[in-house]
Amino acid sequence: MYGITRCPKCGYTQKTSPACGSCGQALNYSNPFGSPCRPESKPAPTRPAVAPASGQVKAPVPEKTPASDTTPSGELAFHGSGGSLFGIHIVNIFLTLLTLGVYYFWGKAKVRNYLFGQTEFAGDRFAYHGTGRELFTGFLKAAVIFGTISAVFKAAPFLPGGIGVKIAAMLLAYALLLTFIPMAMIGTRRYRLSRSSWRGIRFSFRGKTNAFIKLFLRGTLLSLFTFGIYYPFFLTRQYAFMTDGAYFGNRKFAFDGEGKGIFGVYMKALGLWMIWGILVGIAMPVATNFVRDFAIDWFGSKKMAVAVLIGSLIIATALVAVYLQSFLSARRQSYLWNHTTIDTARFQSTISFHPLFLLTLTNFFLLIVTLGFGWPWAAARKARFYMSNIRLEGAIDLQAVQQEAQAASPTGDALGGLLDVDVGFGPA
Amino acid sequence: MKSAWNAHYLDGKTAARRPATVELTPTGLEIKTEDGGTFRWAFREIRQTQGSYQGEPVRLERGREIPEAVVIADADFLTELHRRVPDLGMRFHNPARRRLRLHLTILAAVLAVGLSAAVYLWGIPAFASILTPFVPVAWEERLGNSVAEGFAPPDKRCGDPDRLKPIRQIVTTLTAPLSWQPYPLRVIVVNEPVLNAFALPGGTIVLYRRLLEKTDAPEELAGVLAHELQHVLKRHTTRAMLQQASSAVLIAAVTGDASGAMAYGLNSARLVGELRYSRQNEEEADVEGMKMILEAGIDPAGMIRFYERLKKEGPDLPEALGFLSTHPATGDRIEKLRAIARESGRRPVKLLPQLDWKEFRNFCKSS
Repeated sequence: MYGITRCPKCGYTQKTSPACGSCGQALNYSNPFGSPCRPESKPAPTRPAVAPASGQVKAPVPEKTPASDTTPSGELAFHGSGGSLFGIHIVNIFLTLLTLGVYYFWGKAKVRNYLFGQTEFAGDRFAYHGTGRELFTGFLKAAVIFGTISAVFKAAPFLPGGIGVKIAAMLLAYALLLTFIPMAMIGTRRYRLSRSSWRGIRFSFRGKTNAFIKLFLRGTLLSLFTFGIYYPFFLTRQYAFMTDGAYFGNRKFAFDGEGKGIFGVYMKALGLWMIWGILVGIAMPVATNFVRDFAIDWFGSKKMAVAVLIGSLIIATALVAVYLQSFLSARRQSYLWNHTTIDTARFQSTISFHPLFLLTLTNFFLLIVTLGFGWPWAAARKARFYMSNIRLEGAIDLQAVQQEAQAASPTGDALGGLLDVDVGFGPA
Repeated sequence: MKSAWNAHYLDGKTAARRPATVELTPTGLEIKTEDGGTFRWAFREIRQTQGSYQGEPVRLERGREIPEAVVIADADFLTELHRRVPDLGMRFHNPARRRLRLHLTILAAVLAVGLSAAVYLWGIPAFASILTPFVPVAWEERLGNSVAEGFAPPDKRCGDPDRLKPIRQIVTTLTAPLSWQPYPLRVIVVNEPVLNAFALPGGTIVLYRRLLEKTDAPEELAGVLAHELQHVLKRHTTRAMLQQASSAVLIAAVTGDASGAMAYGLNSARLVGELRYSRQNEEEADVEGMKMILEAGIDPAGMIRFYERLKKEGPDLPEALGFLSTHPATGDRIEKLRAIARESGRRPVKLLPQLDWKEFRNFCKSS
């Protein structure tokens, strides 16, 4: 069940086991400070079991609570700049080249440290606690898993035996991939939350990996068999799982939305996409006539006219796609945020469609024009946009938020990087 | 001088922040919270995790896994810290060194650009050249054969082996001066109206029908074959694959977290980079091909004539777009061939004097 205990040496909270999963210290369940407790239960007024700090001189922790400390304002803000991020990035590139790639992981930790340190909630900055060393060992382990999957994929067509063997091998490879993707998603979230803190209190993720794998397989298959109709529901369930398992200290996040909340938006976007298809279908014959009758005079040759026609069609379609994508994304994210709560407080999103569209488009051109080297600016703009459009409404009694850090392995995060699944803090 | 700073103390146990003052002592910090707690932290126990950037509050942590922390908004604290305790070195960020850090960052940027350029210009080609000889010929053959099945399926191939005898003779003449070469060379003619020829790793050369029909003399075809033979002998495909793999690694090192549009932009950068390698290989095949022609005692004018015909046939990309081409501009290639051909003063032998070439070149259509 939910036996949770705290390791007296390193302070990590964990499921009942004879030793701390993080540092190996033996756990003593008769210890009144480390007694197992349910994380959902109201915080017991027990003193945390971290050994008293040696540097404390006078009575360290006040017995009476000071005037209730609640979040003064639920504003989020991002203070970072593209320039500083670029500076970090370019030094990372240099050291990565110099160390034949090894420094990459330390550089990644540095970038994350910067992004967290520049993000403020209610007057206090977030902090990132991951290290390059962790990311490096995580990568080595994840590379073995990833290598196994891709080896099965690559080897499948060359296996001796009939077509049956080959199909079986391919199915096995897909089954592996479909299992490892959700594992990596959970691993990423577990690791990243565990290494994030605000006001010294760690976030954590406590959802069960197996439950998510089941949810993911079921959702993928249902989405396939319903030709995507189920997808919005699948997405909402994933988000619900990711949110319901997330904690800030001993305080639980929760999600109270439903799939039908975003279903309408998906149908609308799909409908508009189909209308665009019909418009193109109508426009094509007209354009063909136009090419035959006039365009040759304008563009010099028929080839040129056709090239211009097809080129503009592709660009227009890409624009429509980005437009609809922004619409969908803004509505979906707002819905998901607005149904996310922690304790008695609720998130509120003002992410709206047109600003998001403009941001996506301008960032895209920024990256194309700079061959990707403009990403620090793009990332800073994106962070600024989201942080200024999300806030937390309602107060949390911060005095009552107790540290309940959880151990987490970096392997899942690294595997997530290799499989290209990205799990951020909120809805994407 | 200021000696106490306003701060917040975070005990790592609850999310409440406790207003405090931080005082500097010669060996560490004394943190006094408003509610009466006093903590002494020695400098050697303290890590600074935030506050290295303008506007970011200074965050000091003490303790391993779950630290206590103190956050000081005023960056002057660091300046004063370094002034009073000069031997703290790198443990704490020094705002006075921000200019130096900026200069080092710029230096790192310049070095990063230089290093990437050096890796691209010399590192990758050298790496590929060193590794290529270690790739077994058998691997190349297997790869070449499987590609040949796709590009030149047996039912599209022209002529029985007998009809291809003149082409085989040209190949034999060309390779005769070589002391040894490991490839079982063969030429396939594909019955398609395409003006192209290419070499596959492992010794297979594919000629399209229209290219053969465009040649006016066996010496012209010899020029094409010499070029393609050099692709085989210099193992250009293998080298290109090694170069591609290593530029992918270089790009990954330079970009770190590439995603979405960025990956797209970088892919085009990589492609442009690889096209340059491709043009280098083409140039080498031209130069070495022409040398092969001269070694074999064949008239070099044939090869040049055929390139000139190609130039008339398909105009090059505009010069400004040259970086998007797989081959160097045909005009430059002809110049280069002429320069090498001029050096030779030998009298050429006539290739296949008995054969009516104008009839032979059309054999594919009639078969």
